[in-house]
Amino acid sequence: MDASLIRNFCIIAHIDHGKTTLSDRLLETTGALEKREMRDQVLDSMDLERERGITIKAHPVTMSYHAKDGKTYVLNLIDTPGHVDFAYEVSRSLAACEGAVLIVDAAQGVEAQTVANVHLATKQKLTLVPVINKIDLPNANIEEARRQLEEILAIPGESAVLASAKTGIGIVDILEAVIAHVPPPQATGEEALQALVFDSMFDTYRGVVTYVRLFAGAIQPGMMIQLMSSGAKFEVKDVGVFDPKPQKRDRLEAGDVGYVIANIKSTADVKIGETITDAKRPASKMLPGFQQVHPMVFSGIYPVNSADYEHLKAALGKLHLNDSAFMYQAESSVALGFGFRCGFLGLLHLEIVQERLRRQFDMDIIATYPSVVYHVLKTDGEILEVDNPVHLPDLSVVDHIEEPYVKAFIICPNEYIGDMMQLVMEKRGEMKKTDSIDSHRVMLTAEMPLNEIVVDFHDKIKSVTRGYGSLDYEHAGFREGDLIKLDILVNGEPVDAFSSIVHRTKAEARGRALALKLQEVIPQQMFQIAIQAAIGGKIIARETVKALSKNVTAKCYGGDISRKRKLWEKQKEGKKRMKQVGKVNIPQEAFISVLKSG
Amino acid sequence: MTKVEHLYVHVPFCAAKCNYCAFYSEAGSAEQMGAYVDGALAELSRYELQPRTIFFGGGTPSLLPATLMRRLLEKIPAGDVEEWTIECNPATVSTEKAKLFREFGVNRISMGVQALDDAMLEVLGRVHSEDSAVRSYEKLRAAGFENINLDLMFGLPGQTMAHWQETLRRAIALQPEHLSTYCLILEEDTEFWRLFQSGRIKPDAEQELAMYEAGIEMLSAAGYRQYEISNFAKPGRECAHNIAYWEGKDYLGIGPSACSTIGDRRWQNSAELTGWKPGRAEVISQELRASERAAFGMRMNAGVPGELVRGRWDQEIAELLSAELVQWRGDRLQPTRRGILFADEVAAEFL
Repeated sequence: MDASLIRNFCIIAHIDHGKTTLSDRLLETTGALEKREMRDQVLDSMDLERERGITIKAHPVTMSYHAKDGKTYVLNLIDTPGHVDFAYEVSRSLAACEGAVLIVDAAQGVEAQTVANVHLATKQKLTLVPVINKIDLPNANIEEARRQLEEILAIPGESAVLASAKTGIGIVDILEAVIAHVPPPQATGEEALQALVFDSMFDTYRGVVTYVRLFAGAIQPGMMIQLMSSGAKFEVKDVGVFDPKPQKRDRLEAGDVGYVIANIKSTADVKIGETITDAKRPASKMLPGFQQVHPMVFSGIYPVNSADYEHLKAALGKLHLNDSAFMYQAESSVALGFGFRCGFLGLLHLEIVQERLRRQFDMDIIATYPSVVYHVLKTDGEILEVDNPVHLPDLSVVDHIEEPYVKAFIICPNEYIGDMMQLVMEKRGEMKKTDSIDSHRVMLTAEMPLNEIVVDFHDKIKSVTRGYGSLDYEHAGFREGDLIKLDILVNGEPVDAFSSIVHRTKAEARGRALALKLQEVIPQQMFQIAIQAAIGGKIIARETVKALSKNVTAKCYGGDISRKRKLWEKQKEGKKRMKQVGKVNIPQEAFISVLKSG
Repeated sequence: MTKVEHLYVHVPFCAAKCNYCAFYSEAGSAEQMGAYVDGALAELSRYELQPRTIFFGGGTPSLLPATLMRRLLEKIPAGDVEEWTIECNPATVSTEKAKLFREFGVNRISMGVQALDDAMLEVLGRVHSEDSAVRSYEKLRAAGFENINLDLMFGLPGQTMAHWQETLRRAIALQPEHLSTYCLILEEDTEFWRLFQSGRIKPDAEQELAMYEAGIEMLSAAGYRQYEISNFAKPGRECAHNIAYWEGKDYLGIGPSACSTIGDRRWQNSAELTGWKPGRAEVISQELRASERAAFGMRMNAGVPGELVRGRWDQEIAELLSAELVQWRGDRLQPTRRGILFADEVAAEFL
């Protein structure tokens, strides 16, 4: 294959600006798929992802296109995960491309995720093909969209292709623009195989299917390959492309995008960003940019019924097979028994995993309050990474604690700027700058502690701005913070699952709010229940759940027996679904409400 | 058909609906009452019975006119009966009916006086007065009844502790053999439920507890032994029919909405004045019946024999023991005073 006839590109866009529709339309126009096959075949995504407007794993698609210049081009469309939690995976997908189609909604204009994605694409030195989409909408404002491209993103507005993926306007123009502007793959100067792993998935029948972009050399079945970072060697069984169904090929060459199947057992063995080379004749260096991804957000996941522990373990194992960024290891909690400490790229990632456990695996689980990773610098010079409040050492041996920060981009309508700034302040954020995007919107750039945004920041932005605000962020290192551990005691016993690490200035308010919330959700029992919030040994808040004085003392004769029995059965069932801490039964809602309270 | 030793007859007529009552009842014309008696007799004729206990409940059984009552009583197979109770409303007891009951062998009367205080009776929507309750009681005594129960209610809207204690005092003064004290329960399809929904009455759990305990104290001081959550009796006067329910014995219910449990089947008749039919039977396995025997048995102060619960509920019993809700006395597992207050918590453990 002549590399000059290959174009590797991706589509970047804010949520709902039309990425999925445009992908479908490109496939349809190039004849890769019939219209009605689209949804099932291409998206390959779960309901959960569709509900949340994100696709995490979609495989690359190879299309064949007869261009106006008479030549037939191979267009490889590489999907990128649509959320900042997956920023590293996005950056590896972008690294597999030479260009990116940037979609801006003609009615919505530039949004926070547009900005963050353009930052990433520019860092990867990709050629951008701007597209103003949804021009058929009655409230489309093309001129405004052009102006925003220029002023906010420094992209010439006049170069934008006008399109409506929904009605099919401009699709051919987009394909022609990709061919005209996105450069063909360039030689790296290496002769030996260099293939970038930008994603992988686990297939029950075929094992790990690795998605690769070849930068140099060739790969074919029977060949021994080596992963340059881990050193592991494997024999190639199959190579091919997705058109969009998997099609075996004899070989893949420099410039190609496709899949490799080797005898790899778990996606964890072939990390995203790895370089695959020829084991016999290895390349002199790795492709740039490989990183070990480190989970940023941690939460304990426990089965509601301790008997389900093995079942949960099996389910987590299955999820990990297909999502190597998700980590888990066994831990135990005084309150919750045996479970797992799980690491996630971000809060959305956490929610997705939890939802999958509930829906796909039908697991009843309790998740603890999410925590970020703290760097704890001890007085003896030791540095600990602490992702679970339980493991925070006594503050007398701690010199200081550092917490992860992010640079957050928030776009909101002008009238909410005051409320937005106040929200940022409440979340210990520091405003860096304010840019006006158009006559009615501004972009706030702020530096904020990650632990302030993992729980409810996004929801708060939506509520403060009546749904019009948008958020994206990038990681911005660690900073010292005045952090302490907040404990919750139930009848004098600390409940480890309710502990959290919080900023000193937030501790009291949070302690009070938590105690009050728990008092509402813990049902009356046969004895009084004291709920206390404490810092160190000091109690800062106390609420009491009054003792139940008695059950109903009622008539109970022949006609009441079945009804009464069913009532008791229900009562016992309800009790089983609660966690027992000491003598106190704590319902699942208590754990959830702690999770929800910022 | 197995020999059923416990017979219940539901008489679904009431002069008026009380504000707390969700039982099935109708005002009933003379014609409807006649049709009902025909239906009950037809249903009875399908069974061969030799009951040891009989209970006529309602509704208001005493509301049936004497001629109809006679037709019904004649056909009750009461040859072996040891205890035969008829529920009476104080307003509908006449000397004539009392004599009629005696004639057929009825030996126990349960009278729903509920309160002995006209203000409270009005709150309840009862058709009788305190005065009529006392007069009815005397009529029954005069007719020769030596075993009378009075039902009393506490936790009523507007009822104070002083009201309740006065009601208890007056009831004790009458010297019935048996007393039942019931806490008001708000049930759907009652007038009280509507008042509760609209926020006009508000149950007070602390007050209910205090009243319940005051009842236990006063009745026990007056020589009444508590033998079940709501029931108190002079020694030997416990209600054998109700104990049969709690011990999980088979029973047959005749009449609209009546419930029966025989062998592994339990069913309830439809709630229609004429042409009532048995509803679809619920299958009660041996295991489930054992659970029920334990759960309902533990509502009685005497508890249950150890052989019923040992082996199957050892862990649950250990927990209940440590929570001081139950205790062993000899070979019987019994609820403690606290276990009586938290009977639902105790019962749930055996399911």
